[in-house]
Amino acid sequence: MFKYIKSRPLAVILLAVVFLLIFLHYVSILKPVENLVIRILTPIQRQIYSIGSGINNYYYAATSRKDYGEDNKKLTEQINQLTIENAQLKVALQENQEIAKQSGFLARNGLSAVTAKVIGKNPEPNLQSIILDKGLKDGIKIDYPIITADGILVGKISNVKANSSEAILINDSRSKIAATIQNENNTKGVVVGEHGLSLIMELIAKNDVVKVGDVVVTSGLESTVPRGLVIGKINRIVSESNSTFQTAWLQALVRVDNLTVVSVLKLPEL
Amino acid sequence: MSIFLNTIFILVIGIFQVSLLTTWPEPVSSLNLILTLVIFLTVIVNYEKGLWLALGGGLFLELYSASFFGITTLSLVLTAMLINFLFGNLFTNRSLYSLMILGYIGTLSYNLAILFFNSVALVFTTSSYFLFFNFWSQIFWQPLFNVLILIIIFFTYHISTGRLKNIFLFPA
Repeated sequence: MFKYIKSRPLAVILLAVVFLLIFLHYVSILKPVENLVIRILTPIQRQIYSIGSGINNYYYAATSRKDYGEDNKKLTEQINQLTIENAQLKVALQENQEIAKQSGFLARNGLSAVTAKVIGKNPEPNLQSIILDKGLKDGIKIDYPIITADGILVGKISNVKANSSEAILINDSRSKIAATIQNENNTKGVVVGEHGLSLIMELIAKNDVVKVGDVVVTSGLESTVPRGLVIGKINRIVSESNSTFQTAWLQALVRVDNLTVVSVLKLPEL
Repeated sequence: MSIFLNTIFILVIGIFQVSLLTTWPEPVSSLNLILTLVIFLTVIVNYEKGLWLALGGGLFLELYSASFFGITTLSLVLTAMLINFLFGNLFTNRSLYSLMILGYIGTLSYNLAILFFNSVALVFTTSSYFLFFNFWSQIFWQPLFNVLILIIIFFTYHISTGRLKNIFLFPA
């Protein structure tokens, strides 16, 4: 083994370089370089992400039309063709509409926010997080909530750099949000993500009456997340006899896997 | 010039990985293009090129990674070393079959390295990073897609460089 390493000095040198870079990162010497690279690449990534998102939209539209049957096949093909031709235009239009709607929602609720575009997603498998083109310089801080046009909560900021930030989506297993069910008792609980697939509300008091279709909103118990942001609707409830709590499965009201524009809510400092 | 072109190449595939591949539905989005290319370069082209891509690609991914800084790069470099070690000691030629087996082993060992280093880092920090290992995704889907892409790259490379050899023997 020693002979093997000795015959390959480049690998040993590169390992040493990696350790040196780790050291330089944690003493913040590398941070300006990292921020510069992100700043330069952000506009390119924004465009590439829009293209990818357009392709995904087309795929989603195409696969969901499969059930329409043979009669609609010709028409579907035409629609698909038009979808391809207009994909770029639609993405741009959608982004503009999102921005306009978000501004309206924020004004109605007296909230201030930073509109951010999604430039990528975390490349690690199983982690549901998006990368935004706004960061510390725009006043974004860790734990700030991110919402869509209609005030639907889609995640929270988990990591901030000078010109970019990362947000954990609500369906990520790391996500935990204090929530309230809009029922008679305003039942409290915690909404957690389930492996990027669904949302589960845990710690629901067993005596509280909870129904399928009840809307779940943020409870405001967290200092950084305002009360009343919609999270989803209950579509299944499990109440086991040996447990003191009920568990509810939620249906998200928006597709969080294909966001292009979001708002990061900025709360007044306490 | 070569360094400049290689840097551009790393940036292009890095952006492709972070901003394009991740927008596509599962399990396609689990494809790790940088890891795939590191394995391909190490086995088929040149070990040193594989190592350089592991370093450059790893550093690019660190900018957008939720893991502790350095873990992705370290895992990629160690994966390239492991692949080269296995290739040099257990495999006889640069065939498609060797590439496929090493592609699977490489993907698996990369995922395990990420998991191991994150576990070690968690011991020394108070971060809220969440250790997560999805068995089917990381043992089956990601290696499968990486191997499929390796096959495509293998044939593209050999056809474009004219190095494609006959696999079967034909009677005289």
